Amino acid sequence: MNQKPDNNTITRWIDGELQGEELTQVEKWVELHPELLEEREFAHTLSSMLKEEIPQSIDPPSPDFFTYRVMHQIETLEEESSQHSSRDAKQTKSQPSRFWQWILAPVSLAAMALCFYLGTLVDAPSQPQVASSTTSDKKQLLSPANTLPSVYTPDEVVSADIIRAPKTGTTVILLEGLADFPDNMEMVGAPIRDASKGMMIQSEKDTSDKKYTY
Amino acid sequence: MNRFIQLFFFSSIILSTTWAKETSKQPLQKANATSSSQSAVNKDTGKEQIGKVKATLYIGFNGDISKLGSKAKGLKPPKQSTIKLLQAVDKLRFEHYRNLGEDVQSVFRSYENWLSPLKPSEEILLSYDSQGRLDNGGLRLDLELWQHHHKVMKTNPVLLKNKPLFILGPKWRGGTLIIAVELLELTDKAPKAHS
Repeated sequence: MNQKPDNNTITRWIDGELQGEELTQVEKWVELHPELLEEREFAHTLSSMLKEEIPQSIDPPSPDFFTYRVMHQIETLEEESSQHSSRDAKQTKSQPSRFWQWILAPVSLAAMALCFYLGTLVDAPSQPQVASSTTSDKKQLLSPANTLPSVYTPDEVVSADIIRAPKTGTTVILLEGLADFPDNMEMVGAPIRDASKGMMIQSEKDTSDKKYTY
Repeated sequence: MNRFIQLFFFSSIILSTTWAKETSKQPLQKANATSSSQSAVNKDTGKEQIGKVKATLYIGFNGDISKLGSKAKGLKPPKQSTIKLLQAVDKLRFEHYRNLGEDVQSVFRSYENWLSPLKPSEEILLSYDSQGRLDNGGLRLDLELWQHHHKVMKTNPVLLKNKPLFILGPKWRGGTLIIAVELLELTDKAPKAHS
């Protein structure tokens, strides 16, 4: 080989990576240039010194496999965390619903019974009054026995007052404004009555048969 | 489920209210039907006597009895117990009292009756009808006072035995007429009053 090999080839020769014809050609060139032999010798010595001082490194695993394993681990962790959260949610939901289901039945029964009882109280009829076949202008003036009765006077001239005697408890109705009976009217001794003309009386002072009608 | 329960509640309320109304009407309807049918077949129980009342006409006056007329001397005074009751009230307090007349009549179960203490005169009349018996033995009446064929007063007293109702009436010959209405007797047949 007459042409100088390139630096890459020389570097490969120094590292011992050349083979076959390529190695033969480089060695022919090196015979003509012995300084290369010295350079190779120096490189080998340096390499052996470095190997003695620095331990050999272990080749890392394949990067693709490492990435795959990391991603797989992440996915696994995510799945586990999601499963845990869903399980907790289901448990919290089911607990109160079960409780209310147990309570609902007796509460419903009690509420139904209460509704029926309240329904019986609605629109309770009042007690019927004592029937009377008297005239229509009468009123049911029902007052307790221990209270004073009520009084009504159709005539505006007549007024009424009711009192109760404190000692005896008797009830007295005081009427004022009534028309007085005339003095010449006889109330003693069963006065004669004429149904057609009302009452007829005979005055004791009048000796004649004069009759008065009212 | 919840909606079904709510619907059940509302329907139960409506049903129970309707049921209560219907059951409350039935006894009254049955009683009315029964009473009307019975009265049609049996006699009128309204004329049944349940008690007796008495109306007495007194005159209270001060001074000489002669101003009441010559016939007044034959008039009898009321009982001492009655005088005591009259004297207990200022407006009824007089020096003398005389009995002008009295009338006793029955109290019917549901019919009206009349008292005429000045019988046969109809100048003073009292109409009454029963409103029922009370637990204390009293009888409630619807009572009306008539003077000269005109109604002058209407009241609803409760009469008790030995406790007459006094009505201060018009004047005559310087004296004042006093009408006393009292319960003489009350049978167990009297219906109970409802308050």
